[in-house]
Amino acid sequence: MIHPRAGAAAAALLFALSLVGHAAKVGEPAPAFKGTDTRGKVHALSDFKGRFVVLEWHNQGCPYVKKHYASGNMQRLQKEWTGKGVVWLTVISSAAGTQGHVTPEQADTYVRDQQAAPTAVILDPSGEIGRAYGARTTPHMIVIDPAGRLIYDGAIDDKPTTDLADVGPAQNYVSAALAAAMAGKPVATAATKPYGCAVKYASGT
Amino acid sequence: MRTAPWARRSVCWCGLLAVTAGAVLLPTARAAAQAAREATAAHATVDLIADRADGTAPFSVALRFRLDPGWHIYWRNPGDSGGPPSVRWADKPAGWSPGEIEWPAPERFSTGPIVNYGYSGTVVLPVPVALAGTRSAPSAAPRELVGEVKWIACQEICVPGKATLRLAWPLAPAEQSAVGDWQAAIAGARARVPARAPAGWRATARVADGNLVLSIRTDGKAEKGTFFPVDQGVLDESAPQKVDVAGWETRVTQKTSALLTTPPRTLRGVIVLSSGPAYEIVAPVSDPNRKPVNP
Repeated sequence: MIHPRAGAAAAALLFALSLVGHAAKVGEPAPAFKGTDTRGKVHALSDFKGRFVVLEWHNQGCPYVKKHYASGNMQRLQKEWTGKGVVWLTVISSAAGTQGHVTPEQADTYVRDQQAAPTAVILDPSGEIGRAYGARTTPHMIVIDPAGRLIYDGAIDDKPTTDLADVGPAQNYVSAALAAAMAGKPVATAATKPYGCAVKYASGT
Repeated sequence: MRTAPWARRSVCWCGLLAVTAGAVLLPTARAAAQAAREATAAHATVDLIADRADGTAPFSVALRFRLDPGWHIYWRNPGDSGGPPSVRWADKPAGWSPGEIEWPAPERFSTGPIVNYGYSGTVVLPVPVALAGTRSAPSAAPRELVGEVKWIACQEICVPGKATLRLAWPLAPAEQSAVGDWQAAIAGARARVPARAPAGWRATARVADGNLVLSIRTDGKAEKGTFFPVDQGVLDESAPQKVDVAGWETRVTQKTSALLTTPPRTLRGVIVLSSGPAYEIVAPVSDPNRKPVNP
């Protein structure tokens, strides 16, 4: 008979090896990561202990991402929440040669042209950070609390379309999670199915 | 005909905001009248076809997509990314009730860890049209059906598409001669819409160790196949799906979605058998952790 502990250990190993899954459930510590931004600075999640952190998976060519930038929605969210002390990291996990993959200069130009306001843009062409978080789509939103716990994981809002007209009436899950957590209240909707274009991981991964 | 929503809006700053935001404005009546039966956008030529020339007895229309090679559109449950096509009937004759899109059985696509359900090539999505009252004699009065169709076509990248399509009765001569082909296309698509499971089948499901196990007891020799869930957030679509056959039973095992907090009461989906036919599956889900309903 297989010892129960051995079975549990094997299951944990298989889970850890799964390519894209949810590496952490909401309520658990968010996966550690180290990423380099467009200015060459290395950021680790542990650098931000004591602050809320938002991770925004991004691909500038994806029509779902374009909906949120053309409408000014993403920029508004970035300005509002960084203004309240939130660390907002735009993460690009597109592999080289795929849509969304950009040079640091291109990413900075985009941020300037779009008048975006992330704290930093993290370039993750190996997809390591994306896979650590199970990022499936762009956009895919992650919210981490000051204690380093995952408090929201999923869609940016409740209208999974590419229509600009759907931005205004949508219920924004990121804002709802931050507002609730900052007020010391439980996050009502902590996990949803993200919508968008598939994250362009390197093929064979 | 209903007044287009834009016409009801009073002139105000909000109208200016809508224009400057580049919002998708609904077509004006004039635009709808000019809309053609066919349009090409976002890697598809999409047209509106019908299986009757006279539009009298209950009949069907269909959205037909002819996709560029390598591109696909999505099923009602698109999987990990993308979204299904949709149609909003902006204009229809009084008494006509177009129903819901009927979805032929999908294919499964995967790009790395991302799994999707959808279609490629020529895709025909039938829409049944019910008619109020009985009209035994064909009407010579002009009638038109105008549909605002939206879709997203993906290959390596995704491109959203939209088109306003119009089919008018009485049909033009070129269209009348095409109705035979259109009937065949719609009938062919209908044949691929999953049928109700045979009366002798019993499908049940249970949750065990983070997996959903679907057991389909057939009325004869069971076969392998692929199971497509209709509801999102139930199965982990990118997890491998194990299908076993034992005697009369086909068993499908797949990891549940990380989003699933309590198992659903019913697992809904489609089983596409390896020999071809597709069947609807509606399986009650038993969960040992769920409190029983008061008897």
